[in-house]
Amino acid sequence: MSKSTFYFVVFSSLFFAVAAWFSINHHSDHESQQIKIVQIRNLQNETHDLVRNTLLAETGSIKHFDYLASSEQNIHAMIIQDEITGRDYDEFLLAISQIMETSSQIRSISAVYHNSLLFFPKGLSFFRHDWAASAPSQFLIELDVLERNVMQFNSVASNKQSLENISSQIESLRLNTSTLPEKMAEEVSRLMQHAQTLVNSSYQLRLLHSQLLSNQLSISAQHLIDFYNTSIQHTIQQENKLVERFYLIFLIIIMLAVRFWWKHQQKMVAELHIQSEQLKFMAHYDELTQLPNRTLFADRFKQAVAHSKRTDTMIAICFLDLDNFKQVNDNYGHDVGDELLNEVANRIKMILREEDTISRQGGDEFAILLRDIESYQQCEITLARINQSIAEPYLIDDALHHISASIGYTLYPLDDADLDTLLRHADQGMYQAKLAGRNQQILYNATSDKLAIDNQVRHQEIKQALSHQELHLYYQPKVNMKTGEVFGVEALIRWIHPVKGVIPPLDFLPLIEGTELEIQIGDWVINEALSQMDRWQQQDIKLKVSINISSHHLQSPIFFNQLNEALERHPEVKSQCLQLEILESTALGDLEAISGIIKSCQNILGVDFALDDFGTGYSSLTHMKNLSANTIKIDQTFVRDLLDDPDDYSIIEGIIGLAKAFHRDVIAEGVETNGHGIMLLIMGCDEAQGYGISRPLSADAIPSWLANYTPNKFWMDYASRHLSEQEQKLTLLKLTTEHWFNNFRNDILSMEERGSDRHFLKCHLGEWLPRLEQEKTFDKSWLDEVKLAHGKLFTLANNLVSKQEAGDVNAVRHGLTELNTRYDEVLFILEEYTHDSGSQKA
Amino acid sequence: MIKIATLLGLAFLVNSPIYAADVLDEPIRPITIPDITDPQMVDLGHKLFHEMRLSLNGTISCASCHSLSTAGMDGLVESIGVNGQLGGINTPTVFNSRLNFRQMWDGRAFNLMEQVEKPILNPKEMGSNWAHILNFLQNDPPYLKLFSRTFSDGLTQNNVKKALVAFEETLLTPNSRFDRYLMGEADAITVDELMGYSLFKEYGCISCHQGMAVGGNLFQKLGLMKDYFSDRGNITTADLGRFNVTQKEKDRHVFKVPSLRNIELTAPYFHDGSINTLDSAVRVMMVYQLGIKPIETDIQLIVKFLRTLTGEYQGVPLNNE
Repeated sequence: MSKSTFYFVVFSSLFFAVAAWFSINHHSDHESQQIKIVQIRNLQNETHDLVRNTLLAETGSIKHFDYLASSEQNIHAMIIQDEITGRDYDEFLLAISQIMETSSQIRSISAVYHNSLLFFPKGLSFFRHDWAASAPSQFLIELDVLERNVMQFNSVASNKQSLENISSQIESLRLNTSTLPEKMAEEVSRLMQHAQTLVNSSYQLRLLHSQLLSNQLSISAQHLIDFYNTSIQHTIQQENKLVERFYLIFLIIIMLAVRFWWKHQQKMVAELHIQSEQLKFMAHYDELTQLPNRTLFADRFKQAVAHSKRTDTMIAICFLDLDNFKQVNDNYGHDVGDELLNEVANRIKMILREEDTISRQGGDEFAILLRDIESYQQCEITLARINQSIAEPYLIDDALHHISASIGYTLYPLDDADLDTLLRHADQGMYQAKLAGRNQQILYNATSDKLAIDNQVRHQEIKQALSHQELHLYYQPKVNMKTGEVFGVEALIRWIHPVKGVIPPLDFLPLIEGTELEIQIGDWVINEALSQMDRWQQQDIKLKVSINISSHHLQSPIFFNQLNEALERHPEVKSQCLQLEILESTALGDLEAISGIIKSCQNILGVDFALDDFGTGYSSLTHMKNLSANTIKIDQTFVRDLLDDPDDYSIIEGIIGLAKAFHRDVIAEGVETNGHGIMLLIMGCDEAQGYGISRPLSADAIPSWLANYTPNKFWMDYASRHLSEQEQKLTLLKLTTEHWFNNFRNDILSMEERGSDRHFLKCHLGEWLPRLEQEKTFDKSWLDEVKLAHGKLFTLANNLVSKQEAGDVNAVRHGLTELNTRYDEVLFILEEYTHDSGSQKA
Repeated sequence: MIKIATLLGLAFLVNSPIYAADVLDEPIRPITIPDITDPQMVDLGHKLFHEMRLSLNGTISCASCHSLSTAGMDGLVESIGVNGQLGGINTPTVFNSRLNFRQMWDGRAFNLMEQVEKPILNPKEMGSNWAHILNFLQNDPPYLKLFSRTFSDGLTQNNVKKALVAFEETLLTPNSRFDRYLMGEADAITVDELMGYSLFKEYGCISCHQGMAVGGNLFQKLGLMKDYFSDRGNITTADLGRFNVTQKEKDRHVFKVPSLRNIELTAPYFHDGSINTLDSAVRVMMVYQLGIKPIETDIQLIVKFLRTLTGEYQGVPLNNE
């Protein structure tokens, strides 16, 4: 071996060793950074679990806190085991420790909250049971008021001000106890303590809840991961450079001897190169939310399509736009807006699975790609969860924000198109979700697409109607049937179209439900009504005016200020004279929020509220309980058939009972006949509105109508008579039987045209007899007599219907004479009792 | 008539189905025992737990205050440490301590690994230091042999702690009568005891005392509804509770909710050891934590229920004799 060969071998092996050491060392360096990323992700996931389970525990869905405790132990162990320490992790660890701290506080406070929630109402009812007889009645009333306030405080988003209000109320009741007997006072102070604990803890829980939701976990974790990604990239670049330099020297010294080694390295460089390219690519994220951008979204879509074909599943392409985001940005500034966007992104990420993708499309728009979708329902559930989570309140800089989202989506391959088209379809679906009232998700469908365009045309027309002053308010008087007094009017909107004539509200208001235009029109109505009240006042006409407010308008963040400003523009008008009617039948949306608005309008502005069309909604009882409306309006559909349909009678009876139990006023709509009025008076509803009193009138027609108005004598007479319960029932029986008889006579002859419908055979008297028998208000022998006569009348009526069905018209005509006799018999027996009881009285 | 149904809000509550047929779906869960992965380490921990020479003057071991034959604690108001000093706070039982979400009354130790050296190094308790402990173990060939057999890196400070913790983690008391009831043995408890349990839930005791340990997984203020400390008087540093750890006002008088497992055997009660009987303890809780008027008959029933929480250690029911 020559000397030069020897040096060559020594030198090259030395070089070899250094290069190998260097390469291994650096390789492990960036590998360890990748491990760190995984560790951070794991820690983030475990902490997410803690957040999720804390929320579940707070609502009582989990019966114990063991899962939370073990989550905390795991998090702690992971931090120690993975050595997550040092300044780089400060932000991340702070977020984690804040979550643990908040979770721990939520546990303590929710325990206290649930206990007082359990005890307070129970304790109150015991108190009433024990002391109702001896406690001062004023004090008991105050307790009732407090109970209602406390329970409402829990169900409604409350602020510090309302907490202070209710606390001072509690304090004043507590101070009142000095006048009470010692034992009672002790009981009261215990109750007051629970009331205070309840509102305090409820308020604290709300704050903690928001605090937990607005955690910085994902953001800080992303910062860390970005940091590691950049540093990995950096390491790889360094490595690339160095390795390449080694190569140059290496190649000069030994060209052929190390061909194998060279090839190996070449391969490695190629790998590293690809990796660094990938990392560069991945750096193309949205700067604000750290979400993938459009390019990456398109790439993920391609992968998803391949996956979808392979697994025979669908992909959902969703387009999400935030509702009311602009208002947050305008009112609180862009910093808050940005933070809100970040938080929205976090909440969505929390619900999505690993394989799903969310991307920010700009502004407040997000695109979401859901893979492995097997059914429409599955997609609906996920999107509904996203909507729900976005609609939870946000705590930013000590202020709570409420927003919601509208989502449109389409399903690939049912909707087989390229990504741009799919996104456009989803966007159109989103537009429909906005039109349908926001805070929902709607599947794109091609036919409704056309419908949407039609709607848009109509929408424009309505907008013009507003600006061209084609909208007018008509006013329908409301009277107290007992006193005859006209105490108010309801303002009703009419569109007087230059070509089509009068268009009733139901033909155009539904088209603009949930839109900005609806709010504009609502605002116009408020101002128009107030101006009219001003004008009337100058003519010395004092009427309480009620106007209809849509729930969308009521919930818009500007509503309160709008109303306040409108009232300020009309200082002459007393706010107590304004009543706002909310439609009970429409989906009211966020009950808590609505209840909050209602209360602030009532307490701060002094405006009244009424629940309109009551009884037609899906959760009337909940509305009655949660919304502090002053008045309940019985829907006209119930009143209209009151004399025909015993079921409607029962419903109205139920509504009146409920209204009394909740201390609400009650008024009936759709009173068309004297009979309606009498029936309502018997049931205890004195206030009424309807064609039987007056149709809606233009504002100008009101003064002359008032001047010519004479109270309905029939009603006033009846109300002034102070009838006994028996007499009331008799009137009721006579009225309904008479009504039934007249209807029956008319209907049976027109039955041929109407087809066989035995519904009109239904009769109040038949329903009432068993009830009266149980109540024992009447003599049994007399009742038996009525029963017998009614039975005959009814059998005959049944016979006549059968004959009519058989086409035997002559027999029917003949039978009607007999029916008349039978009817007179029944009436006679009813009359007879009146005379008897009258003579007994005498 | 759908209208009527909706009007009167006739939404019937549907009972949610119970999925796990073998364990009752209750806020309290029966104790389950994980497998011991390293019996050698547990044995070593057992030896160290009873080792008096860990203390500075060789008079006190962990077991002095946490005797396994007397329910894992000493029955004193405050424990007595080296040179007859008082510990300042009531000694909690070592049984089931691994189920706690934090250790010590004020939760200043996150887990047993952090907790285990605290009494050893506390001058009022075992008054020792690591130099002393490692020096003693280094010069004791049997220990040295055990350490090198158990751990690859032999005797270290961390391994001493690990062994002690491994042993403490085996100190669970399963199979109490109440656990047997939860696991489907309906007649494991009497009607009175069952009534006691339903009162325990109804009064709201369960809000804090739930889970496997019947407590031990949250912090709570002592004196929520009535000021416990002004009524008792003579406030000590230990009374400040978690405030001593965080220095935050909201943590004043806040303590870890203790486990109620084996509670009949672990008198005196509370962090100050001020209450000697179970029924007085329940009474105090009702007044100061729940803000309700105690009813004697209910208290007796709740106490009966609490007695069903006494479990077994190594197959033998725990007792104090």
